[in-house]
Amino acid sequence: MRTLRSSGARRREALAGYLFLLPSLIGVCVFLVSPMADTVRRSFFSVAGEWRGWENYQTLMGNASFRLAAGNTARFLAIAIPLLLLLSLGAALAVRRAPAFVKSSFLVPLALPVASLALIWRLLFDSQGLINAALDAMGVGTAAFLDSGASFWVLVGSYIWKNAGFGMVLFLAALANVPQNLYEAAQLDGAGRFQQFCCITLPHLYPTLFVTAVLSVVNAFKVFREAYLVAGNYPHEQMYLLQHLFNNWFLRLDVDKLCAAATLTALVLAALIALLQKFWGRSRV
Amino acid sequence: MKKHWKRRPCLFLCLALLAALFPSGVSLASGVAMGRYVETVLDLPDGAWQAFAQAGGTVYAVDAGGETLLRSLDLAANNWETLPTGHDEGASPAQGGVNGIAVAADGAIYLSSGWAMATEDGYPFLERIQNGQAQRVQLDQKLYTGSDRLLFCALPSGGLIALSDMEAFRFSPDGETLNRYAVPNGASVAAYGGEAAICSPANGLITVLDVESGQTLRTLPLPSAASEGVVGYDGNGALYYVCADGLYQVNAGSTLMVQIADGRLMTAGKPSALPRAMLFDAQNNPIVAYQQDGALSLIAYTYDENVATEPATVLSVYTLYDSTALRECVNRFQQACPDVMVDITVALPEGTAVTRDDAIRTLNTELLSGNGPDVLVLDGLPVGNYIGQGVLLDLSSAVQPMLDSGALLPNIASSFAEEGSIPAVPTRFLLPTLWGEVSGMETLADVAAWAQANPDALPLYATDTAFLLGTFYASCAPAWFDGQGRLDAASIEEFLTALKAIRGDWSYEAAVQATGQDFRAHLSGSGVHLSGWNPYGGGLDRGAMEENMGAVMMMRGFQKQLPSLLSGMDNAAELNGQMIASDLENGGFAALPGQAEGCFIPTQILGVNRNSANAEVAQAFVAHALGEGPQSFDFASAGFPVNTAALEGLLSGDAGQGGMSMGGGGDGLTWVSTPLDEKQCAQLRNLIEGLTTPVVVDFTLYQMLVDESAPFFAGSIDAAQAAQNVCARANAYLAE
Repeated sequence: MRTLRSSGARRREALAGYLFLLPSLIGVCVFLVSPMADTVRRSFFSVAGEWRGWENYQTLMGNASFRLAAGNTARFLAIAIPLLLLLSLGAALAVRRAPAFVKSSFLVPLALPVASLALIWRLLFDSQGLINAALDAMGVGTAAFLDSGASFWVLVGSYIWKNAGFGMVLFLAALANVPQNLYEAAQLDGAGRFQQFCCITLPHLYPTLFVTAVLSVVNAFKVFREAYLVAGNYPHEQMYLLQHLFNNWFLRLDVDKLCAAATLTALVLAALIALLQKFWGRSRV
Repeated sequence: MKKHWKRRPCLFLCLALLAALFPSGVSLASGVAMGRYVETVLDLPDGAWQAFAQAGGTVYAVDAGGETLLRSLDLAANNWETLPTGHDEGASPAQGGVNGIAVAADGAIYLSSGWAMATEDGYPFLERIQNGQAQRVQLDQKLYTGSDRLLFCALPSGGLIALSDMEAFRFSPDGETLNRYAVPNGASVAAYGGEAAICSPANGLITVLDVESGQTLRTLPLPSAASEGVVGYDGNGALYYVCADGLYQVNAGSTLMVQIADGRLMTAGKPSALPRAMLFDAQNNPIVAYQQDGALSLIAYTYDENVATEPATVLSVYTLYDSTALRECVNRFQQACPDVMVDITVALPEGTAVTRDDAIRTLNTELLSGNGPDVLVLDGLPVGNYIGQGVLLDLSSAVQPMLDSGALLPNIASSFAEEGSIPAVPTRFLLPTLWGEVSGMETLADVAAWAQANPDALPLYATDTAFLLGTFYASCAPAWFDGQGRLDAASIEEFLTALKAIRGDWSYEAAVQATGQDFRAHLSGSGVHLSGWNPYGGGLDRGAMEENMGAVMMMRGFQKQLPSLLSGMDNAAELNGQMIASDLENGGFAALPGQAEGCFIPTQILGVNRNSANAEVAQAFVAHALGEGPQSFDFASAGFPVNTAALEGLLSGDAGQGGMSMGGGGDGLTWVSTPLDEKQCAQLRNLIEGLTTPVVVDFTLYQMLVDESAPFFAGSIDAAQAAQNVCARANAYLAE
């Protein structure tokens, strides 16, 4: 008797839970899952609705602009994400015991509107901007920061400057959760600071590293906004990212290629996140 | 138990939220709204009637010569009687053509003409006809209206109100000033009882004032900034206003302006029809006198409750840039198909902050969702992509019969035909031309060589390099691409080198100093906003300002040639009576020399959305747009017609294009546009028949060219480097 009542009660509880979840689930399906599924579907059709099979993907692989944009984006992620993680972790370790206003100051760039940031870019890096004026005054000579290969590093620098505070905050929260008695015990055992960091701090940070890395990858795609506001649809080729290509394809109604590229990009990012989860997803303590 | 009374309300709340997401879909009872004002064209006696006026229930009309005066007590019955005018040569202002009439309460009839305003001493006069006697009435104020007519009306209490640019005046029957009203920029005036209504489109207001005291009784905002129409009072003192947006009514003493007829369904919405006077029948239904094709016609508006308020079928037409030719075509189509309402969406109206990319993004979103407009005007849109993606319907069924019958210019109309289908068709086109000393000018290199051989002659000009690049874009761009659709650096280098040679050391500042004419400042001061070069934008965007400047410099002898995008006969400039082309040695005009031949810019390119729910109506619209009627209008801004009959009418001088005058500069420079002579018409005909290369302006490529060539024109890099920079930037774009 008791067992039957329990399973019935459990079923009722489960049903209630699903019903409470339903509005949110519907929202996610309508605004997220359904468009993603439609994108995947469109990647196999032409704009006019004719079946194309893998033709769109083949066209994509042969498209020079896609290769350029994908290469630039991969290069950006490979350089900017590790740098960001290192710098934000370093900042978190450095300001762990600093006053609150010091920690808050790292978040100021995150609060800046994109349009203001684009204006700052122009003021600093334009051919007649402040940096070139300073270089000219020193007799060094000017540089085309936005119209040469240097534009890529401007992009990386801007991204790190804007997002380092966010990562730092996440790491600070994780560092606060590391038990202090572990450090004391390690100290008693004669472990140095580096050893304490590698054996105590870092293992506790793996889940946070994973979250920060994933969020950083997402934020990395937002750097397109500044690049677009500063340099338009067709910036220097070093700054030409996947979002530029997607934006331009949408303007030209090349939605079939756009969907194929988006699907490929989503698959690659999903694989990357799965990899990160495998190595960093769980705490090692 | 405790848990259950918490959970159950939460569950109900959740279900309620779900229910809100999915409404029951109860359909409301729908009905079709009935009743609207319909138009009836009233019969008039034969003759070119230039002006109408009304006093009491009697309507008066006068011809251009001022010799025939008619009166009607019942317009509907078309009963007209001739009145003796006592026409007096000395009193009559008819030398310039009578175009104004007002009738006073005492039966005195006042006639006016634009000529009468341009008297030597500047004081206009009227002819007053009373009891069969004509008398000259001299006004004691100089009136400036910027119009070709005196803007005035008769007061019920006697006397007249006339408008000037800075104020309005009340005159006695003998022309003495009795009162001044601080109402500037008046364009139309009407009076009723002791009040008068003055319409000022420039200020966006109708001012109703007390005639005796001049006190403003009320102000009424005009429906839109662009509206320009006429006002009139009916027998009950209700004020009416008619403009392109529609017919509006304001009850006596009210400030609420109500639209009673939609301009889209009226003759008023047609750009070629200008409302000139408002009359009323015995039932106080409005009758509007429209000027169309050089004469006035009367159209009565009566309310018919058996007609649907709006036609059931709505055809949506989308265009990036506004166009009077398009609006004319739409209005004519609606008159031909009264069951269809055509709704024009202008994505980039004048003064908008929306960018072209934003507009295209919004349009593409609609197209991809399966919606979108029925008809697309593809100027400025990615035509090639829309065709390649199969977004456009095949128009063969509408266009091919016209091509087969010879109704359309085949080399122009077939610009976008491919493999038996016609996804898009241009309804107008522009022709890049060169005016002046054109002998031996066949290629871009010829022009550059001439410039180098004649360094003091300044063969060409441009206020800035962007316009110079745009001017030659149409005749050179097709030659820039190799077999794989990529830019050829050598061609770009040749192009830039030639343009620099052509431009010489010319600078706008030096030209302003030499000529004393700063067109930019003049136009800016007049509120004209100059945007970038854009052949689809019409008017100034196309470079009309550059042409004006160039024409001035040719007259001054600084310049020998004038490049232009010829769009119609009005482009043929006659400067102070001197025809530019024929007045110069080796003068004439020719296709603009470039790196390609037979180039033209197709404009007003129409396409039909494949997903249109009104595909048949849309195709009928396209066929209508290619017809002779719509094609015989507004050549100056819209372009040459594709319809052969309309083009022949234009070239043979039957198109009725009028002259345009423009004042410029401090020394009274006047520019009058006139049609070409027979020899030039034949030359133009040959040019048009030889057109083979449609050039759709790619604004992205053009902007890249402007940006990357700027250092070259500034002298900081050479042509080869500039060409490489252009190719590096553009090839990524072309590779997409």
